[in-house]
Amino acid sequence: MAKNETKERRILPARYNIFNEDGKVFLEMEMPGVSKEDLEIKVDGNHFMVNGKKTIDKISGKFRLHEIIDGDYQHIFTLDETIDRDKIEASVKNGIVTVALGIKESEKPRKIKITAK
Amino acid sequence: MAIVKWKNRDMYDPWEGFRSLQDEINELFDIDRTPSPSGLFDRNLSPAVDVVEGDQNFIIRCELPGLDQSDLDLSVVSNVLTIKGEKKDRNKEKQTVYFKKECWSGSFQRTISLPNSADTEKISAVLKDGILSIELPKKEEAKPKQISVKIS
Repeated sequence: MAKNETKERRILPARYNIFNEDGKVFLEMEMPGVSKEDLEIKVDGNHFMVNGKKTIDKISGKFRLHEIIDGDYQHIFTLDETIDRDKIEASVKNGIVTVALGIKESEKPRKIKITAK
Repeated sequence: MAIVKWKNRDMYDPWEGFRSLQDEINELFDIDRTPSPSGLFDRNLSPAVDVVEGDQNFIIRCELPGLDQSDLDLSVVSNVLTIKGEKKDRNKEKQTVYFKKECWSGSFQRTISLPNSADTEKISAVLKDGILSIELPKKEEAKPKQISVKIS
């Protein structure tokens, strides 16, 4: 009887940067080895999920140095009401995934006018 | 309460340094946390490298997300391979407000000594999706050969 071996791929948290620019929140994630076809981005309620499959050619041989961890990337973030769900755009280049999340107009800082009497 | 004083984090806090150290050590004991890729217990400012020796060749892979060919400098000097470059921070000139910054940026260098069996004349490199793959075939004499045994 053959032993059924299902090896699950390791899931790694990708390194990320979050910053504010031009009234949008930018999320930059480092996912080397991930191209457009391997990427999946989903918004489900308040959860924002990014999944990236790392595709590197398998090589046979002895590892003389082994620092790169083999695994797929995944990150789940929670969004609050200030993010406009319809204004989310994502792009991939050189293994970096950049997501621009638009902030709802009503949430942007507004100056309050002072009227002198 | 309609108005509550906002905790101004820009004001000088003499305990700031200790607080972040304590937070980091506390995080180590949080069972549900995936290990953070940055912080005290992390390799700083250098990309991860794999070196694999096959029967016919050597393959070296380096994780360099965000780098273009122009940011990278690859050189070989008597069997020592040097990968040098600069990982640019796209917001360097602007005063960006970061909520979280885990990605390192700046110049880096990795040197790898290759054994004599590597033929450095026939080196080739490909940069794709942030992974640099370098291949060097082995010199003919170093490749494993089958020796036929004659029975007399």
